[in-house]
Amino acid sequence: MKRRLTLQFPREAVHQPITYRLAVDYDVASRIIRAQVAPNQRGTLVVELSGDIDELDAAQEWLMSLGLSISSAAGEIAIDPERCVDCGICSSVCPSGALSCSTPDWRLQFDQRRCVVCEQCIAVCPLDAISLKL
Amino acid sequence: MGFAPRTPDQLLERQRLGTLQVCTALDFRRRAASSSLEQAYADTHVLAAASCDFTDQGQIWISLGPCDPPLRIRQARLGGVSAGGGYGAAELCLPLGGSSDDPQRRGGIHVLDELLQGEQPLLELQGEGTTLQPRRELQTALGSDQLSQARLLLARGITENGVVAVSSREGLLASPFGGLLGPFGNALFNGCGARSIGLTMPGLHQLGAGSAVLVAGGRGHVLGPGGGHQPQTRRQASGHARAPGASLALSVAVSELNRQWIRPCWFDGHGAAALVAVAAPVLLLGEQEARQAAVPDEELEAPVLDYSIPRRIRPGFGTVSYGELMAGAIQVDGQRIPAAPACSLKLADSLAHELVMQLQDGRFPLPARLEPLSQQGRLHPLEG
Repeated sequence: MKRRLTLQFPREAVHQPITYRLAVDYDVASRIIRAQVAPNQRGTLVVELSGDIDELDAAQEWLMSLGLSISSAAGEIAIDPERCVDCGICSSVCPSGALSCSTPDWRLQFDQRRCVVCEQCIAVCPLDAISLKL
Repeated sequence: MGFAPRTPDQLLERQRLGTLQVCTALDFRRRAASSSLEQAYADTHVLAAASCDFTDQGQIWISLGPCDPPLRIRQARLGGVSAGGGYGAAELCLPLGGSSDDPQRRGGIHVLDELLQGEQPLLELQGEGTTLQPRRELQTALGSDQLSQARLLLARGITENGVVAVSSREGLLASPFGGLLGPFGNALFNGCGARSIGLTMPGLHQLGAGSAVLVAGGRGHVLGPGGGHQPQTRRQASGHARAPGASLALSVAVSELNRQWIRPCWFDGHGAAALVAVAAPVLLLGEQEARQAAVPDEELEAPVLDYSIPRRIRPGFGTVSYGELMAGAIQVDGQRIPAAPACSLKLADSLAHELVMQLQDGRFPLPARLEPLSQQGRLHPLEG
């Protein structure tokens, strides 16, 4: 099964080789959707984990034992049509192609089924038109 | 059939009689492609071209009425945004944008938006305290009906061409175009391509001080050459600029603005900015104007610049066509990079349609300038 998690790293845990240990010790594959990790700074990793349910639970427990805060809230991206100006900036950073803006009408299209909720679009929208609906 | 020349006076007469044929710059290109350029010229007298870009290069000038006792402004804030004072007894000047570290994430455009919504932002004035203007403080809520005069001044309201921004640096780069993924993860372009004023009318040669233009739904005017005005830029054989080129400064009364076409926004790492749609009429007076206005996106070019290098002259990767940009991907250094607009093509198109209606109804004047646009102008490097 797959599980999408947002991991918040304290400064002292940033050096941990998380994805390596998840693969070797728990047989869990990690697909990194978004990462903001730098030495000696707090970090964020949005990751999709794939593996057996028991191993995923064990892996999650191990991550918590390292002091990571884990959020697995199943949110979804919401676009406010009143604020959106269909500029297309969000579509250029969307890793899954869920957001697109193209000819002929240049109206922003959002395919929720393709969205991996990486939240990158929220950060780059200059109109504050995109939010995470929990 | 040929290209029978026309004069501006003939077109004015047609507008008066209600026989002026107007279409958008994009529709004219479609007509020329589907029939012939001669036929499209014969069927069309005037084009409505438009763009809708992000900008922080502007200000909102507000003239207040006198208070009692009088106050000579030294410091001022409106809606929490610092406004320049020292322009006399009652003049305020709000920067359109704002600094990137403002915790409120606000600039003058946000205050303007509140005024347009009918809200009353808080006005805080500190006075100099002179014999004739003794008052030292004033606080009041200011509604749009209390503004004696208020104008939006855009230092670079129309630019002939846009640019394509990319980043060669690892990670997400905050830029005035939006987030750039590096290295070479995405490309963002502004300028709106073939539907824009500058790529329909190369050199912006029909416009000059006094020309009427449609700014966010309101009738504004050209003040003269704008910020970064460089008419002597590199050009294609057709006359179209290969770089931003000529630019125009614009002015419009705040009371004329329509919120549909002007929006407040915020760019992380850059600050507040406005998205403003601008449209202008382009007269088809002969073959040259028609040929230039019919050049499609596939033959129009914009420069690709590396915004991750913070230098006066950014490294470039040549030019790409708007055809590639509109198709969603460009090739840079042999790499395919997804491209997206950092402008609103949809709002540009809707304002162009609005201008078509106003020109046909005779509600918008055909271009008449008091003086031609200066053909001089270049950027003088600032040393220090």
